Amino acid sequence: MAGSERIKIMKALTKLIDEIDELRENEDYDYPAKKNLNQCRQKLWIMHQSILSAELDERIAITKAKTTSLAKIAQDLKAADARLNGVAEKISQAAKAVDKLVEMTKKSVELAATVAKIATVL
Amino acid sequence: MKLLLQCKIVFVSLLLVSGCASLTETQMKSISTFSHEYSKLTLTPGNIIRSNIEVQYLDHKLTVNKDRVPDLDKIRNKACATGCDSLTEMFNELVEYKELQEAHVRAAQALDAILKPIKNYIALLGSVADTDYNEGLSESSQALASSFNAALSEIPKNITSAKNAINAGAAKTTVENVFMAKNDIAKASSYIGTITYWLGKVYVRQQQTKALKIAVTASNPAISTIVDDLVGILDIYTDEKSPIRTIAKYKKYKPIMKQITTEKTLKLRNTISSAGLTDSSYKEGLISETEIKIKLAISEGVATKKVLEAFKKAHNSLALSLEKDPSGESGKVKYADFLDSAQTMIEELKEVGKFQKKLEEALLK
Repeated sequence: MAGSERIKIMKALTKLIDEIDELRENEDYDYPAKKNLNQCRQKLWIMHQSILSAELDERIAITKAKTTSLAKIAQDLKAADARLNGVAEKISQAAKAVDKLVEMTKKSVELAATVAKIATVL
Repeated sequence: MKLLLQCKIVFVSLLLVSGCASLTETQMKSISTFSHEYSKLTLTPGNIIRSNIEVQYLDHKLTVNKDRVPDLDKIRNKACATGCDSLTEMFNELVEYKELQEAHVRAAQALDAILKPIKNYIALLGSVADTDYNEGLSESSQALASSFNAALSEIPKNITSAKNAINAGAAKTTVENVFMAKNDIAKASSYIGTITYWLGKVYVRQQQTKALKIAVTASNPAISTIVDDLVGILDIYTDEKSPIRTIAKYKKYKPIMKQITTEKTLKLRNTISSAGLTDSSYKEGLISETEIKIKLAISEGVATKKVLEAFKKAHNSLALSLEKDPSGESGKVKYADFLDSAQTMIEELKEVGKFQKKLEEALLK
């Protein structure tokens, strides 16, 4: 049964249930008559609930299937996150290496100054 | 010579990082905020199904019992033989309803579960957009800067030593060559450090933009249809023209509830409780409690729809802004749309949170 048909049927059933409820309010009806109306109402009501349940199940299943593509994209994002962490780590290490280079430069500068001093003495 | 080499490095690096648009820190932060705000609250669209089950069951019980009150006299007076027809009938119907009730409960749980992959995806979007990668780099650059400053501050001392050496008659060429070499090395080190940090930051931001663009563009169609589906399901329960019965009908049942509770209905209650159903509906005042729960659940449902619609709009604008080039004019326009929709989503999330809290309080009573 198509979804739109189910909604139409549910609307029709709701209308019928409402009409039966109005009939049941009629004081002229005796209990056996009301009991029959009651039974009819129960059947219609259970039918309404069953159709609603089927409609929900179908819609939810269709929507759930669409979320599987998101799971794959989430995995790719996780991998991208890990890669970015790796890249940032490497850049950080490169920057520290430059730090060491600066230290070495300082030392070479000191060494060059010492050499110059020695040169003057000599 | 060395300076020339450094210039070449700068030029090549500029070529590598240019021509590929990236997001600014502000843009990154707003995507990150969008993700964190969405992740803070758990949307529970299933609540509206759960509250509707209660209404339907109450409707069923009230309608059934109103007409079966005369039969209760027979039960009380033991005037019927083994199993009164109406009692057996009622029992069978209640069992049948119990199965239906369970099916609806499963549907409510399944509906809540649909949002989990979306929540997971959004959280990961936030992680990739996070500015922490660049903040880590700037810490290194601060240490770098202080090292440079220390190195550069050595140069004036060495200039003095060199001048003294020259004045003392040392070979000018030797001293000058040493001095020039010192200066070049210090300058080169400072260039390399600055370039390392700048290139690193731009590169990481480009990679972030690339990853976000791929993910957001690929997921946008799915997000769009999933949100439409969820809003469609919520419409079944919140639309005024819905085929689901509304709370307004229950106000007329209050006098009936009083009548039922004053009757001696011990056997009837035992029958219902043995079917695994509570007889709390026989307590007075149930209708007003149920009314509150339904109203809160419907309000939560309506607010949830608004969150989902704002989320869909924000995600779509973000996808378009990344597609067009975030720094270009049309990209900026779409980015502004994303900010508006994200803000709307955050406001609606606060509304949902308010109703969820009130519903929780009402359910605990």
